This record gives sequence, C-alpha cells and structure tokens, in this order.
Amino acid sequence: MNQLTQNFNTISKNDDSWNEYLAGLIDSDGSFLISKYGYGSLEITMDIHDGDALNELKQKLGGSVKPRSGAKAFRYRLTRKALLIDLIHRVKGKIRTTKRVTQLKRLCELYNIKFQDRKRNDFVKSFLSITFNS
Amino acid sequence: MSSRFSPLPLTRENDWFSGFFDADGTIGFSMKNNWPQLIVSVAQKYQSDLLSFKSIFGVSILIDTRTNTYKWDIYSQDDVLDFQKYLTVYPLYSSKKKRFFFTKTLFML
Repeated sequence: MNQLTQNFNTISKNDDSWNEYLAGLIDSDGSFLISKYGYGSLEITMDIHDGDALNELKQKLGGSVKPRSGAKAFRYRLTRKALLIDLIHRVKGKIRTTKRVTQLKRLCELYNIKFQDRKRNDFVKSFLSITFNS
Repeated sequence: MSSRFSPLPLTRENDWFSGFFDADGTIGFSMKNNWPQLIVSVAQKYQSDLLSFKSIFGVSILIDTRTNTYKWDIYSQDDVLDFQKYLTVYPLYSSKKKRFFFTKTLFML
C-alpha cells in the first residue's frame, strides 16, 4: 500500500498544471466529507453533459462516476484511503475557497497530514515577484 | 500564521481558473437592441472567492440581487477574447469547452 502511495506521489509532482485545474474544480463543485464512522471521501457533482470531465478524473485518480437518481447529473466519488491521500498531496496549497479549505484541513487532520508544508520564504518570494512584475 | 496557511497568490499562468470556470462558470447569449450579446460569468456566494478573477482578468464583481450571489461577468469582445486566449492555453474539460470554441466565430459574424 505504501508503494502505491509513493507511486502516486511521484505522478503528482509531474502534472502540477492538472492539479491546479483539479483544485479549481473541487473549489467550485466538489466537497471533502468525513462520515460519522470516520471515513473520508471526495465528491464532485457535475451536469450530465460534463461526464467526460469526471471520467478524466476517474482515469487519473481512481474512484467511481455514477449518475444521480432523479437529477440530470453525475457524481464522482473517491473513498479509498491511499487514493485520497494522493489527492490531498495533489491539491494541498492550491485550494482557495474558504469552505473547501476548512473541509480539507479537517481531512488532513484525519490522516495526520501537515496541511501546508510550503516554506514561508516561498510565499514571500512569489508575492514579491508578482507585486514587482505587475 | 494566516500567510503560512494561505495558498500561493494566483497568476495568469495557473490552471485554477479553468477548473473553477468548468464547474461554476456560465456562457450565456441574448439579444440586446437587436444585437447579439455574449455573457461569460462566474457566480459565487462569497465575494472573496471571486476576487482572484477580478484581479487577473479585470472587470468588477457585481451582486445579483435575484439569486443573492456575487457575479463576475464579462461582456465586451476584448475581455471575452482575452479570457478565451487564457482557455486555449489552460483548456476546459467539460461540455463548456465546445461552447467556448464558438465565441470567436460569433464575433466574426
């Protein structure tokens, strides 16, 4: 299981651009949940026409895509712990909306992951470069 | 403490906008004074979630009193084409991708 997590971690470092897209998608249509039995999950619900986008997620991250009953929508669900941990490493530090940040923090606490391991210097450096380049 | 937990500031070279637009964005079309009007917008409950759109792509955020949400919307040709230019580099994956391809054609008419 550890090797599986390691493999996913190496993948996640390579496609940073796609991880940013994923973070944006989760920020708007996704949610991180913790069940009352203490199991974490990610859900993303999108329109029935956007099945392709969800299948792209399924191919890259694993999980399942199923149609919602009574609504013209698909729901992508990720529940496996190893895959969820990989996902957290992908989107950590990229999630921006207030609600989602709170949910992600709770999930990180559940899996004992440090929420933000980026050094303060990186933040200051990028902030300065953006401020003085614009 | 807050800066340590806050994500890196967003730039134009970031896929986050396309992901956000893929889920919460809309592409609308209407007739105004017998003239076609294209509206590209993103609606959110909290204004703070849209501030990055405002700072990168310009245009102010307005409050939609009908739905009680904040809306970032672009109407002008320059703004829409500028946003399209961004989306060609950082593409959409949903059905909006096909619809957004037509915007350039619409302005050619």
